[in-house]
Amino acid sequence: MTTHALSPLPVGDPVRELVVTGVGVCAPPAEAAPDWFDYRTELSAQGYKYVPRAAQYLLAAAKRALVDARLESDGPDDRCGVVLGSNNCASQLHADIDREVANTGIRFLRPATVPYFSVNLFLARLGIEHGWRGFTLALHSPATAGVETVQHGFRVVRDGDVDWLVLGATETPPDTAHPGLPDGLSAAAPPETGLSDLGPLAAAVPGAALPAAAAADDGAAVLIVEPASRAAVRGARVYGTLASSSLFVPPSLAARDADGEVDRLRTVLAAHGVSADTPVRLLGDSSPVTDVVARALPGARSRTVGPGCLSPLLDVADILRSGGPSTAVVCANALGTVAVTMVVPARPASGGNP
Amino acid sequence: MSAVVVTGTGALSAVCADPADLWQAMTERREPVPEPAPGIGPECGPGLWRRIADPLLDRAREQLPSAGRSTHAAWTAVSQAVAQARLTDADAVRMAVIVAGGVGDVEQAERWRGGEAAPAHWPPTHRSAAVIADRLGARQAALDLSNACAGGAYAMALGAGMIADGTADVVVAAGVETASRLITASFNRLGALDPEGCRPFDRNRAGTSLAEGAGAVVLESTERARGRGVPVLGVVAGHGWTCDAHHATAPDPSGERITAAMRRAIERADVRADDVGVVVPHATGTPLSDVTESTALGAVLGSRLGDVPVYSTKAALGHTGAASGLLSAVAALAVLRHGIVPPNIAVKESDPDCPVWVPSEEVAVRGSHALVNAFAFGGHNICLVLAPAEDRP
Repeated sequence: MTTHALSPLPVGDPVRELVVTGVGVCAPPAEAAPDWFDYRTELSAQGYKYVPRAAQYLLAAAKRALVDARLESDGPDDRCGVVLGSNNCASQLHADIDREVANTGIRFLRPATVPYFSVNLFLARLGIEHGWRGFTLALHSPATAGVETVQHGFRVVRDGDVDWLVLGATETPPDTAHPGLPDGLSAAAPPETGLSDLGPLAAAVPGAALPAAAAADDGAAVLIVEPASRAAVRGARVYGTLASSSLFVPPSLAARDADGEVDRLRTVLAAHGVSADTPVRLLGDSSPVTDVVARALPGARSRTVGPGCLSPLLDVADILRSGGPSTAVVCANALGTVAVTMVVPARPASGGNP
Repeated sequence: MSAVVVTGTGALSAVCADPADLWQAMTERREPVPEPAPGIGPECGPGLWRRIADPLLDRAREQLPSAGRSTHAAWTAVSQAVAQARLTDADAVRMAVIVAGGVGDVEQAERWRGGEAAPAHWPPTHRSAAVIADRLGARQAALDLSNACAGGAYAMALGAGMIADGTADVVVAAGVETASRLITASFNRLGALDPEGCRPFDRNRAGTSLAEGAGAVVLESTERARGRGVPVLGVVAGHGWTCDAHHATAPDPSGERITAAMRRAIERADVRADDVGVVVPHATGTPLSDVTESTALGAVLGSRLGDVPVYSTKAALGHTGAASGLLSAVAALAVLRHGIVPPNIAVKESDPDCPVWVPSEEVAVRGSHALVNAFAFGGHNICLVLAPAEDRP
């Protein structure tokens, strides 16, 4: 297979349309065994033993995305920006450190792992690995951080600070002692369901949310995004284009004035390009916020997702790979964060479900 | 294009209760008193934090009972900024909230592990922006990020970008860090703390010091601020961000990408390096970091390096982590507004490898703009160029 290193984008390139040319997913297969991921085979037996699992996932997903995009990453690249999201990547490590400290003090904390107390390192590790020096941004908005990488990364390209992007998300399930987790933390994806399966609404208490009803996210996804002009020059396969934006539905208002919020949201979603005939995948939880979004999108195919921000990005990756009509991926969360990502595949459907 | 301006600020630290108090503390060279940290087990190092006075968070605790200390501190600073900017419910319709925190409300999880009652729902540690957006009724977005000790400055730059491209009309950007067993233990294990406190540019510096802090700004366009008739406190003239991609915790000693970030910020502000009249550096007091920053400043300021006054917020406040970049920006705006650089906490013995000018007496600002630096674990570099309001007294 031929691979190419990215050359600098010509100064003043008039074409800043960004396209996805690489998709890498590192996620457990259905009925996965607990040891489904082995860094020694995915990365290398040397140098990764003390890299936390979520960072290993990210490195593995990026490796696959680069191969998929037929790109080499062979040295410092000042024109690459890295924007990544995670909600729970550090939860387990933080709990481990805390328990160790409480039980024995700091003496046995492993120096190679301790720096990852700083959550951003789980994500920044990827840029360090590849010498991507444009900028790195670590996002953590509840449920939406993975797809928020699209809008914030694209803005930096538009501003001319970088030419191409590595976007992604990584998650491991929160520490088992973390509140609000379902029994068992397997990463098996829940089946697609109708909204009626989302369960009862939360009590009308401002800001309240019900326990998560689905398994926590586990795995990583990475997208390689570059200008269409350069993709054309190097003959890269184009998966499609993306556009993403955020909203906020105050949970207290969703509980107090759901009808008003539904009306407002219908208008806002239309302004974001989600029309009545747009296929929509809605990923949410059992909360007044998700209920408001679902009522504003009556035709959406909905499913409940667990803690984490990976699931929406996995859906984006799935739509890009499967092809088909333009589809909106909408995610909502009890804390009020909502994101709309319009996925425009470059080719017709190949069996995937919009 | 209309400039992005600051119409409200908030500041909270071990030495100040609000932005006016911050300026007073700077001019008085008020020094924070370290307090014992949350217990870090049978063996501990210095384990000291410069903490926000607890009563300052009482109101936030009442208003946001299910949030952690970090969110309480961020909300307190945001409340100050929102009040100063005279925002009303009408402003919330196209408002975005951005909060940067190094580890979020991790201290709350530590309390749960210690046996304190936990909520029934999934509470991600980084959720301050969402909690605050709910409180404000913001409808545009709530963005939580980390980017470690550079986070607050990133929040400000991201907010400026959202105003500039029309994503939001008003952005409330904040940075926050509060004490946790996690940070205390990790910094001690890394040997990154100086028992004598943070001593930027001192020949004998030996590490940084832990401090709590929260900073906040309200951003909007000049036109909008004028239309509302609110005073402009300063202009976010430019920013530049880069990544070292060098090492998890150490800077690239060449300073190449830091230099690039400063130059980009100056270019974006459409000014020259000669217009920089004061620098609020990152300057953590760690041996390599301060030398690297000095080298980069030399590359940008050239022969003016020794003539441009530096004001070191970390010597004055301690290292407030993800809040530090934003608190530095709030400090820089005050410096520009007053036209003077307050006296630094005196450097006892200057480091010849750090040939920057750290005046220990009050001096005048030597140019029109301020340069604010913030760097972090993971190699995040960001530089802000700030300009004074046109109606500066």
